[in-house]
Amino acid sequence: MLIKNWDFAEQENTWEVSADIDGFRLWYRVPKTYAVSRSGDPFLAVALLPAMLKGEGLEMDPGLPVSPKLLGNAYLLQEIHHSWNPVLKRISIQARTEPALPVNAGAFSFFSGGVDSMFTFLKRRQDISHAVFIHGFDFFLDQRDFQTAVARNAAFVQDFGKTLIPIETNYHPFSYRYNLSRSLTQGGGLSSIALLLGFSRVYVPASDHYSHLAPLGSHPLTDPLYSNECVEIIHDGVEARRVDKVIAIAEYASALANLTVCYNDMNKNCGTCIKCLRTMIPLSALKIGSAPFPPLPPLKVIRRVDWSHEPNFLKQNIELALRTGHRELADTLSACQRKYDRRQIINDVDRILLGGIFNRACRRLSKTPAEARRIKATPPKD
Amino acid sequence: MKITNWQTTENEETKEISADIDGFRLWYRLPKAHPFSRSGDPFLSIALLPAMLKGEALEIDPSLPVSPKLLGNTALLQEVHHAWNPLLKMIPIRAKTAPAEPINNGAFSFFSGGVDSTYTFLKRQQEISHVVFIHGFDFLLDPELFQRAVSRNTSFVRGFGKILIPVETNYFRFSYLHNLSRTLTQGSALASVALLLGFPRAYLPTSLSYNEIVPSGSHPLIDPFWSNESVQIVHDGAEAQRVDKVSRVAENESALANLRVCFKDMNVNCGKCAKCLRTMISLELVGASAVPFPVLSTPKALRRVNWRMEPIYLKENVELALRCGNKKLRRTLLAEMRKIERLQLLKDVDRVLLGGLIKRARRKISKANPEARWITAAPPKD
Repeated sequence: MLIKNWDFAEQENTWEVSADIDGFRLWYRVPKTYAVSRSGDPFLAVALLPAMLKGEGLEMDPGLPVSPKLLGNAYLLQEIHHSWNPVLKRISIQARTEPALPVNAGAFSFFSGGVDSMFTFLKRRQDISHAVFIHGFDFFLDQRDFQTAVARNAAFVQDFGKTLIPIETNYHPFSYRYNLSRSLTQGGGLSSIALLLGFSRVYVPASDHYSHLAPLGSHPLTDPLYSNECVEIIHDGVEARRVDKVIAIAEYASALANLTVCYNDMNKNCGTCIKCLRTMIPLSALKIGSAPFPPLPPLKVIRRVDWSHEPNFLKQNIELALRTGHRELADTLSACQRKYDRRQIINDVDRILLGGIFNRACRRLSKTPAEARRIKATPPKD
Repeated sequence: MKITNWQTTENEETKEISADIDGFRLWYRLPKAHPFSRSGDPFLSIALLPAMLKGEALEIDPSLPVSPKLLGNTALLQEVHHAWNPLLKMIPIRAKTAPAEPINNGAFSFFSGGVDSTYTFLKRQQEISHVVFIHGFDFLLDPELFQRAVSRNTSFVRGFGKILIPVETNYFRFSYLHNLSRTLTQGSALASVALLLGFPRAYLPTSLSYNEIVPSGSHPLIDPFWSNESVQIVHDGAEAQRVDKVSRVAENESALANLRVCFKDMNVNCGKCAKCLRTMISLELVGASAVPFPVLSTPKALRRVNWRMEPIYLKENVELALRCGNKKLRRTLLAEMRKIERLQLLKDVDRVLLGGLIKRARRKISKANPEARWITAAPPKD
C-alpha cells in the first residue's frame, strides 16, 4: 500500500493537507491560524490498519519522513491488533525516518460535546489550551448542522478560556472503503489528527472503564503508541464509569447545558435513542432537571428498549437507581437486564448444546452475508 | 502503614536488605557481587497493595527516599487497581523524593525455567546480560532443592553467555499475611526485585496474550508504571499465546531440556498436573522430541484431569490440534472444553433463571467461609 503525493493547499479559510493512500485522496482541512505537520506521521496512523487488513507492506513516499518513535511503536501496535484479531496481519513498513518537530504550542482534548469528551474537557481544563471538534470522522453532516455545532461548542469552550479547532476530513469514506468498523479505527483516526496538529499533548476521551476494557481501536494500551517525539497521546478518563462522568458534568451548569449525546442529531438530543436514554436515566435518578433533554419516557417504554449493545451501561444505571432509591426505575432496568441475560443463555444453549444451529438459521433467514459485517478489533464470536 | 528501619547486613555469601512494613520484617538476599538500591522504591512497590487493602496511608521513613517518577505512577496504579477491585482503596503516600540513580549495567529478565520465562529469555537474548531467579516469592522450598534449581538454570543461561542472579526473600509470608492472591501481587513483587537490583531494563514474562488479558497483578497496562528514572520495567511476551511459546522453546534443544513447569516440583516435571499436561500436549502436537517429561497420558487419563482452571490453555491446545491435524487429541480436548462450557452454562442458568439458588445451597453444604478467599485483582463474580 502506497502513501504518496502529499500536498498542502490554501483554501479560503483553511489549509488542506492531503495525500494518496492506496489510490484514495484523503484530506484534512485545518483553520489557517494553525500550523500543520509536514511529516508522514498522520498518514501512517490512518493507513496502518487498512494495510494490515490487506496484508500488504506499507510504503511511504521518501519525501514524507515518519517519526522513528512512531515507526517503532507501529510494530507494537501491530502485535496487539494482530493478537486481538488475526485477520489484521503483520506487515512491513518502508519509510524514511526523521524525528518529529514541534508544530503548535499547548495541549488539546478531542471534543464532541458528549459525555466522555465533556468529562475529559472538565477534568483536564487546567492543562489544555484547545479542544478539537471533527467533522467527517463518524459520519457526514449537513454543513449547516456542523457550523451550528461549531458555534455552540466554540462558545462553550470559550467560557473556560479555551479555543475550539474545527477540523474537516473525508476520513469516513476512507475507512468504510475497507469495511473497517469505526470502533476499530477510532484510535488511528483521532491520532492522525493529533499528529497533524502537533500539539505537545493530546487527550483522547475514553468510553470504557478499566473494569470493562475490551479490545477496541481506542484503548489505553494502544492510544499512547501513536505518539511521536513531540506529541504525547493520552487515553483519558478510564478511571470513571459513565454514571460518574454524568455526575461530574452535572456540577457545571454550562457543561450540562451543552451536553449533546444523540445518535440522530449533532445539535439536539432526541431523547429516544439508546445513547440519549442511557444519559437521561442517571440525570433523572440524580434529579438533574436542567439538562437539554426531553422528559424521561414512561418506564414501560424504557422496558421495551434494546439494551443488548449496552450491558455495561445498563448495569451502571441499575446500581445508580438502587443507590439513589429509585426502586421502580431499578426494577424496570433489572427486568431489561434479565431479558438480556436470558437471551445470552439462549445463545449459549444454541452454541454449546446445539452447535449453533439457530444462529445459522437466523443468519440464513436474514440473508445477511457474513462478509457484510464490519471488521472489528476482535473476530466475530460465531 | 509505615515502612521503617531499613537495614543491610552481610552473611557469608549474600547481602540482606530488609525493612519493617507494618511490623513485618521483609527481607531480600542477593549475592554479594551485585550492588543494590538504597532507596525506598522496592519497599514502596511491595507495600502499595496491602496499604490499599487496609485503606491506610503509606508512610515511608524520610531516610528512604522514593523516586518521584514512581511516586507519580502510584497514582495511576491505584486508579487502575481501585477500578478493578474497589476493595483496594485510594490512599495517600507520604515520602521524601529523590530521582533514582543507575546501579547495575545491562538488562535482565525474570527466569524460573518455565514456558513464559524461557520464551522471554530466548526472545530477549540479544538484549539481556542477566537473569533473575527468585526463591520465596511463590512458595518456600527446601534450600537444597533451590540450590539444585540454581545450578541447573545457571548452567543453562551460561550456555548463552548470561549470568544468573539468585534472589531469596520471605515475601511469600508477607503477601499471605494480607490474604493477597499471588495473581494480584505478581507485578508489584517482581518490580520490587527489579527496583532493588536497579538494572536499566527488566523484562517481566507474561502468562497471557493480548487477546486473553484480564485484570491481574501483572498486566501490560500497569507493569510499566512500576518503573523509576533508572529502571524500565517491560511486560514481555503478550504477543504470543502459550502454544506459540512452547513451539518457540521446542526449537531450542538446551531450552527444551531445561524446561520445568511443574506445580509440584521445581526440578522435575511430574507429567500429571494440569500445568505439565498442557505443556506436554503442545509439545506432542508440535512434534518435539527429547522432552523433559514422562510419556503423555492416554486420552482416558486426560479426561480425568481437572481443566477448569485452564480453559484458555485448553482452547489454545484444541486450536493447535486442529492446525496440526491430530484428530484424536483434538477430540479428547474438545470434549473437555465442552464439559467446561456446559458447567458454565449451568452456572449461568442458576444465576439468571434460579437467582443463584443452587450456588447458595452448595455453599451452605460445603460450609465455605467467603472471607477465606484470596483477594484477587477483580472482585469475585458472586
